[in-house]
Amino acid sequence: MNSRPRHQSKLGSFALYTVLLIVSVVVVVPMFYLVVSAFKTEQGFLEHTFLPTGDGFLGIAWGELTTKQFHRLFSPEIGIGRALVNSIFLSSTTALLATFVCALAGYASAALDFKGKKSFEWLILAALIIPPPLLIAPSYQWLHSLNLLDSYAGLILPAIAPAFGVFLFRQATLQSVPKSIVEAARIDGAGEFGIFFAIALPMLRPMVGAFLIITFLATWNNFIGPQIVLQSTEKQPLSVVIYQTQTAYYSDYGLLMAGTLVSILPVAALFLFLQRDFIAGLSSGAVKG
Amino acid sequence: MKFRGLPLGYALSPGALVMLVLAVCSGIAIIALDSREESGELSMWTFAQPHYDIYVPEVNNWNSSGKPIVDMHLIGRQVMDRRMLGGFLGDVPTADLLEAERATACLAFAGPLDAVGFVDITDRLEAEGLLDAINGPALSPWTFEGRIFGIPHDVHPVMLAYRADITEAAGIDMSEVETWDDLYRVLAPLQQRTDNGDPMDRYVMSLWDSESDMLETLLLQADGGAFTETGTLAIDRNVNVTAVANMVSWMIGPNRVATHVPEFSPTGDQLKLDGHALCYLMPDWMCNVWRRNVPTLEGKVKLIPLPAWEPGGRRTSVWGGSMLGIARTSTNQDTAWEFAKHLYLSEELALQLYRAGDIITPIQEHWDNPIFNEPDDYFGGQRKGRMYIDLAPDVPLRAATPYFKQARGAVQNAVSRTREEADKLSLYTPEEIEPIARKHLEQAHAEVATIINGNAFLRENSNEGDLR
Repeated sequence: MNSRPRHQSKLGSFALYTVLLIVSVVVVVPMFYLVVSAFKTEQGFLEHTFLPTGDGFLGIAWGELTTKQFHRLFSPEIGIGRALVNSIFLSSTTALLATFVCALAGYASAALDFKGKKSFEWLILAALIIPPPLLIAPSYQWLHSLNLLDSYAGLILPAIAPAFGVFLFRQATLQSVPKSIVEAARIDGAGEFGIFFAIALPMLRPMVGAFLIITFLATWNNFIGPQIVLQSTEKQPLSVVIYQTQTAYYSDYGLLMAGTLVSILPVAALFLFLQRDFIAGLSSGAVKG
Repeated sequence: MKFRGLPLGYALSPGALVMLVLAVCSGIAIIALDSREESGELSMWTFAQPHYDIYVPEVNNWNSSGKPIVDMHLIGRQVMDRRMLGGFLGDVPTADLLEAERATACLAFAGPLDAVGFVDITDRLEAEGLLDAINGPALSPWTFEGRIFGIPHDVHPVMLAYRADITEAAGIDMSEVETWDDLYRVLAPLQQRTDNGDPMDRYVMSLWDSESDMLETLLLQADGGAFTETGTLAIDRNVNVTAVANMVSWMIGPNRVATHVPEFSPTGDQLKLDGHALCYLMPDWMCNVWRRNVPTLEGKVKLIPLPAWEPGGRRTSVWGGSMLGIARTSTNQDTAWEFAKHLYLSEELALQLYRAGDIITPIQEHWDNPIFNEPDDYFGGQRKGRMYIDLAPDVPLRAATPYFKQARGAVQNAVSRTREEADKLSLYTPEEIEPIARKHLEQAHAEVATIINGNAFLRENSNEGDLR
C-alpha cells in the first residue's frame, strides 16, 4: 500500500530535479560564457563560442586564453580600479544612509502619532507610483541650484529616502515591533530615539539586512544617474566606465566581458556573505501577514 | 526603573558592519586618490572615447601654452542629448564646447533660428576664410536656415567593400562595375547554396530592411532621403519610391541578392568571416571597425566607389557625422572659438584622426598630405585615404532637422512593410513593388508629419506646408 506513494514521491523528485537542472543550466551557461569570454582574445571571441579547442588538456587550447583584458581594464587607459572604488563608496554610503533614514521614517510612520500623519502616508504611497524617469529633469535642476552637480553628494542625497524603503520599514515596524513593548519603554522613561535605537532597530534587523543589500545593488547598477549628475571622468562608477569601453566606432567584446566580470564579482561575493540577512529579511515580511 | 533595551550592536547586523567598513575604506581611498585638479576656464564635452584619446595631446598642448585652461569630459551620447537640451532650453549648465554626433546636435534645431542653442559661426567662418577651406557637403548637417552652427569633424564618404579574395579567385574584374545592376549581374554567379535549403550561404550584398542606416545611406545616394536639402519632409517623393522598390527587390524572390549581416555584433562579424555577403557599405570610419573586429580579413577586402543608381550617377553617399559647436550660454565664446579652431583645423589632429580612426578630415588643405596616399594592407594595398578624399566633394547634402531619427525609423518601417507585403504577394520586380512602396512611404510621411506638426515651438515659426 505504501509503495505507490513512495513511487510517486520518487517520480515527483525526479521531475523536480529535472526542472531544477534545466533551470540551473539556463542560469549557469551565460555565466560560464561570460567568464570564458573574459579570458579570450578578440579573435578567439569570434572564433569559439566557449573555450578555444586545441591539443591541450580536455581538448582545450589553454595557451590561447589571456589575461590581457584585465591588464587593460586596470591600466590608466581605462582606470577601472578607480571606478571600482567609486562604485563601492557610492553603493555602501547610499545603502547605509538610505537604510538609516528609511528605518527612521518607517518607524515614525508606524509607531508615532503626529499631526499630518495620514497626509504623510498618502504622500509616501503617491511617491511610489511616480516613474523614476519623470524625476530626472527636476532633480537635475535642483542639484544645479544646490551646486551639487559633479559631486558624489549629488548622487547620494537624492537616494537616501526612497518611498519604497520608508513604506517597507513602516510595514516591518507594524509587523515586528509590538506596540506594547514600545509603550512599556515610554512608561520606563525612554525617549523616542532611545526606543528606536534600543528596541525597534534590533527588532528590524532582518529587514535592515535585506534593505542594505537591495539598496547596495540598486546603486551599484545605477547607470543613468551617474551619467547625468557626474561630469568628471575620475568620479564615474563601474557601470559607466564599462559602458564607455564600447565606443561609437567599435566594440571590444573581450574587454566588455572582463569589465562585466569585474563588476559582478564584488556584489556576488557580498551577496553570498550576506545572503542569510537578505533571506531573513524577505521571509520576515512573508511569514507575518 | 531605568529603561534598558537591546544593545545597539545587535542592530548592526553583519551586513551593516560590512557596509560601514566598505564606506569608510573606500571614502579614505577616494580622498587619497583625489587629484584636486582645478576646473578649467573652458569646458568641452565629447561623446566618443577615440575622439577623446586623440584630443588629449592637443588639449595638453593648449593648456601648457598659457591660454585659458580647457577641461575636456567624455560623456555618453544619450546623456549628452539630455544635458544639451536641458542647457539650451532650460536654465542648467552645459559645456562651452560640445562635440556632438548628428543625432544629438540636430536636437538643437527644433525651434526657430533665434532659439538654437549653438552659436551661429557663419560670420566667423566667412571672415576668416574658412568656408572655402572646409569640404562643402560636410557643413550641411549643421546648417539651419542658411546659418552654420558647427565645425564639421568629418565627411564620412561611403564606398563599397567587397571580398577581393573570393572575386579574384573567380576571375571577376570589379572595375567594370558602374551601377547596382552591374554589381548584381557580375557577382550573382558567386552566390552559393551548399544544400537544397533556403536561404543561401552566400549573397552579393549586405543590406536588410532592419538596417535603417544602410537604407538612409542608399536613399541619400539616389538623391532621395526623408528630407530635402532645405529640411522639408519628403518621404513619399518619387525618387524614394523607386529606390525602395529596387532595394526590396534585392531582398526577396528567386533572384534575391541581399542578406542580413548586422554591424557591431559578434554574429555579424562571424558572418563577415564566413563570407556570407560579398559586398558591404563602408563609410571611412567603418574601415576602422572592420580592422579591429575582423582583423583576419586583412588583405582579403578591397574598396570601389559605390555603384551608381544609374550610369553616370553619384558614386558615393554619407553615413554618420559629428561637429563641434559653441554653446550660446558660454561666457567665453571668443576663447571657445579659438580653441575650436586650434582643435579641429590642426593638421596634426587630421593625421591622427586618419591614423587612429581611418577618418578623413573635412579640411581640404590637409588632403595633400602624403599619409592619404599610403597603401593600406588591410584593403589589399589600396590607397584608401585618397580614394575616400576623391569622393568627398560628391557626398550628398543632408538637412539639419531634429526629426531625422523619427523619419529614418518611419522609412525603415515602410521598407519592412513593403518587403513583407511584396513577398506575400510574390511580387518581385521593382515595377511590381513600386505601388506597395508608395503606399507605405506615404503612410510613413503622414506619421512623421503628425509628429512635426505637434511641435508648437516650430509651427509658430514655419510656413504652412514646409514641414521641417
